[in-house]
Amino acid sequence: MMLYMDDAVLDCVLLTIRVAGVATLMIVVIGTAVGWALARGKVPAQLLVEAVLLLPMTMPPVAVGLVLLNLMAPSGPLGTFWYLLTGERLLLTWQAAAIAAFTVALPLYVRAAQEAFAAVPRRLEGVAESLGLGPWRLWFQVSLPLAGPGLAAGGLLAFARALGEFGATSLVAGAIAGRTETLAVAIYNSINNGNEHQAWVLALWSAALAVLATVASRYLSTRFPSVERRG
Amino acid sequence: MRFDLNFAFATRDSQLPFKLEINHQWDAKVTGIYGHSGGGKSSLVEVLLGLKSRALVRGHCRVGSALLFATADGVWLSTRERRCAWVPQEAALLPHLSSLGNIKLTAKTGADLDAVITALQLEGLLSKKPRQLSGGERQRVALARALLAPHDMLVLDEPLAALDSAQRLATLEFLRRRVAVENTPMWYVSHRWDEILTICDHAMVIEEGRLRWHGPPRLWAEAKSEYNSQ
Repeated sequence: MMLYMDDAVLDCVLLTIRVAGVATLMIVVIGTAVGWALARGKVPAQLLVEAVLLLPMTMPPVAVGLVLLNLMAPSGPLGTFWYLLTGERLLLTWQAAAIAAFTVALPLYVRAAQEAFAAVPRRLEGVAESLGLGPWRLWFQVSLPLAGPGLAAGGLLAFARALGEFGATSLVAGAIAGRTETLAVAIYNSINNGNEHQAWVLALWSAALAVLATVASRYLSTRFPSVERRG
Repeated sequence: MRFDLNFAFATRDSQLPFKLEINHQWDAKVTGIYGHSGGGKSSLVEVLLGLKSRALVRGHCRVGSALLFATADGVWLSTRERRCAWVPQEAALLPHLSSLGNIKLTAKTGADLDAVITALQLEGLLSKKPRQLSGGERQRVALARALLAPHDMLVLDEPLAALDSAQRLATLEFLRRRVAVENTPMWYVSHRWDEILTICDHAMVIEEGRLRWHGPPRLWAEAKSEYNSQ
């Protein structure tokens, strides 16, 4: 068996990268702020919040999909908001797939971001404050750069997780070839259709993307070690 | 400059409880803090800088016209608002910035950057990252960074500990001249009495969280034998 790329496989790979990429972008923006707030103890009822945030990672993805299905339905809050914004339905779109991937991969990144910010020595932040850095400059010039490698590694792991998301995605985005059929969904459909060769090709592409992401994540972790092991 | 310090700080840790109580008023430009390790010097510095939790501190601290905190009146300036530029014992340079990047972190526009760099012999280190510097070089970079930052007070915690004797003497002399020119109060923490004798006009000996002795450093010699025998 050989890896090959025909138009259908190419569409699937590119769609999967787009869905995982957009999901990861949203994850990084929201998860970085949440991770920082958790690391600095600025969240009330933190233990409860952490437990709720972990739910999408600990629940079966298809159960997460059931919740999202109701939220994204035309009568649901997300579906209504999307309709007001675009005039179109949210379900069965690649954007719905991105939201599903975002939901299941966010807890992974938030945990990584929380650890990355917790590893930033408070002493360095204290010195920077004593020298006159305001809260925003402190965050952008001290906390964020020092947490950067951990955030980048966490982002790549979240991307790898988003690449492989199936359970929630299949419920809210369906399997429309070229539009919502991500690699994971396409593998499932190929097996159901008896096209085992296609399934293996897609699975190998899926594995290749995931390996690239995880290798890059590990490279960042070792090339740019935690701040304690630096200068 | 008038210093007015009357506060108590206590940790919540039941395994390692610690209490620091200081009630002292004095006039000085440079105040030395001296004492054995674990006696409370670092806690005093962190209370001054606002790095201890507000909930653990009771009392007030005024330096000149600046009221840093007065818990009974609900006054608690943030670390940034206190404008006390700090040189910690371990230098604490930002590892992702070069020496020059660290020095210029909050340097005021028009500050005498070149003069300070030359006086502290940092010319050859500016492009290096902290991990490429020795302990003494990091301390000198941290000192330059604090001197050039906007501040109304300086807090130097063992700033010369990693310097060799020649560098220590040169840096002490530089600090002594700078103190004479500027009207900025300074706290100088050191375990070396010769440094405190050189640069401070008032000294406090902290032991087990309490002020054991205070006065002009030149008078310490008489009290020293009694202190060391305890």
